[in-house]
Order: sequence, then structure tokens, then C-alpha cells
Amino acid sequence: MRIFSLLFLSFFALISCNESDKLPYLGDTKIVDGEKVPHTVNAFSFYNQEGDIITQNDYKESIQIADFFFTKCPTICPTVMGNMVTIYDKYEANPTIKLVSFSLDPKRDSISALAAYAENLEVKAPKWNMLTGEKEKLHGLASNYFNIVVEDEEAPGGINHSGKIILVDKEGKVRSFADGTDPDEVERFITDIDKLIEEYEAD
Amino acid sequence: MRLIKLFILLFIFSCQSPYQKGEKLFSQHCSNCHGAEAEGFRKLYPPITKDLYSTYSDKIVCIIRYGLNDSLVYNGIQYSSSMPGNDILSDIDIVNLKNYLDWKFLAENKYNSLPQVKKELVDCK
Repeated sequence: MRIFSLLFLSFFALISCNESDKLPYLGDTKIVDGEKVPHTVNAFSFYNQEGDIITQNDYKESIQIADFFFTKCPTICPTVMGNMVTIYDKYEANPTIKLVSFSLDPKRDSISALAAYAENLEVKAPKWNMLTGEKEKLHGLASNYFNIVVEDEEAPGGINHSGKIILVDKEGKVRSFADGTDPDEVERFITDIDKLIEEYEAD
Repeated sequence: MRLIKLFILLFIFSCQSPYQKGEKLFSQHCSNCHGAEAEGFRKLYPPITKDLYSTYSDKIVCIIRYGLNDSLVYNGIQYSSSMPGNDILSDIDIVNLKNYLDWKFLAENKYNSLPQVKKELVDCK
């Protein structure tokens, strides 16, 4: 009986641990020098809409909210981008929060095409960088950021991809994600952004 | 009693909008960019309004199928993203969609004919 109550108590202790405000670390854990290291997003170097080279080092002091898109995408992108705009507007005054959109179609998404897109979306760099560069590198980074990309001539716009929005902390660890086309998931994602902000404020 | 039932039935049917197929096609193929209520999206994609739709209604079947490459100015805003064509929509889909659009934005029940739309589609290019 005592064992049971002990188990019961430890079970509750576990649950309450999970209910702490800290967001989980997502993705595969690696063992480096005998220590567990959570999945970290890869280094990158791409041009933004203003012709500046942007790398992961530009996000050392920032919480990164990332998605993958292309300007000629007629299907899910406008919905995902609409939700990104909501996030942009909500955290406009918070310099820690930065948005980043990686193009999956760099052939058509030149720097000037991205500049026009950002202008029409009424958003500005570096608060929201739209990045373009080598296609292989952009597509490779997508899976690193939990997105799936398949080139498909039959698909509208020529590319099939998932519309996930990813929350990356200052250390480059993925802490949350949402299907950018689902309003309920995006609402939950925004509460996760607030939790991550609180986590850094508590430190 | 019978009269009341009739009224209830009439009430139910009058609430439902006509052109259900067209409405569904709109939400599947148009609202991604133009918005669920056709409200548009910032300066990227224009809203669909009575004014704008009237300007393009003569050519709408061609625009739905082949897209629109010209930039357009509406309410002082220049929309320069091109609209992609929709090869996936059949001629019948386009008739259903146009019937819905004519009703929604011009308040007209046009019941466009399939042969007429087919002819317009051939004459597009």
C-alpha cells in the first residue's frame, strides 16, 4: 500500500513538473561529450529583402519565429503569412521577438521580389527578415526547422510544403511549433511565445 | 398548423445562400488569397468588392482559368502580385463559381450557360 501511495505521489510530482511554465525542447537529442544536447537549428547565411547577409548570429539575442514560404504560393502561404502578421503586430514593440521567413523558391524570389512582398505586407527588416539564397541550402534548412518540402510540378506554384511556424529560443533550440493554417494552434503558439519571454525574464 | 410548417420551411430555405457549389469553390480556390470574406490581404491581394468585380466581370472566366498578370490599382493601392491560373477547375466549376460571384458581388442571378462560358474560355487567348 505504501509503495502505491509513493508511486501515486511521484506520479503527481512528475505531472506538476510538466506543468511548470518551461517549454519543452523539441526534436532529437544528441549526446555530445557525454551530455545530452537538444536539437539545435543549423547555421545559415542568406540575403534578406534589403540586400543584407543575415546569419544565425543575428538571432543570438532574439527569440526567432520562423516559417518557410514563397511569394508565388497560392495555397497555404497567405493564411500562414496572415498569422505571422498577427504575431508581428502583437510583438512589434518587443525587440526580443524577430520573425524570419525563408523562401523555398529563390529562383523567383529575388531580393527585389522579397522587398516588394514585404512592402506590400507592410512589414520591415530586420524585425522580419525574408531570406533567399541557394535553393538546396534553403530546402535543407526547412527539414532542420521541422518543415517538409517537395518540389512537385503538379502542385499549385510548383512546390508542396508544410506550413509550420517554429519558435526558436536564443540558444537555437526549437521550443514550440504550430500548423500556421490552424487558428487554434496559432493561438496556443502565441501563449508559448509569452511563456518563452517569461522564461528569459525569470533568469 | 400547416401554414406554420410552410413558413418554417420557407424561413430555413431563405437563410441558405444559393450557389452552394460556387460558394464552396470560392472557399477552396479563392479565399486563400482574397480572404474568407473576400476582404483581401494587406497590399498583396485586393479585396473583391462590387466595384472591382464589375470592372472585371466580362473577363472573369478567363481570369479564373488563366490568371491575371497585370497589376491593378484599387482604392489608391497598387496590387502588383500576379494572380495564378486555376487549371484544376473544370468548365462546369467555372460556371458554378461565376454564378456565385455574380450573385454575391452584383446581386444578380445570372445562371450563366455552359456553352456560353465554354465559348468565352476558347476566346480568352
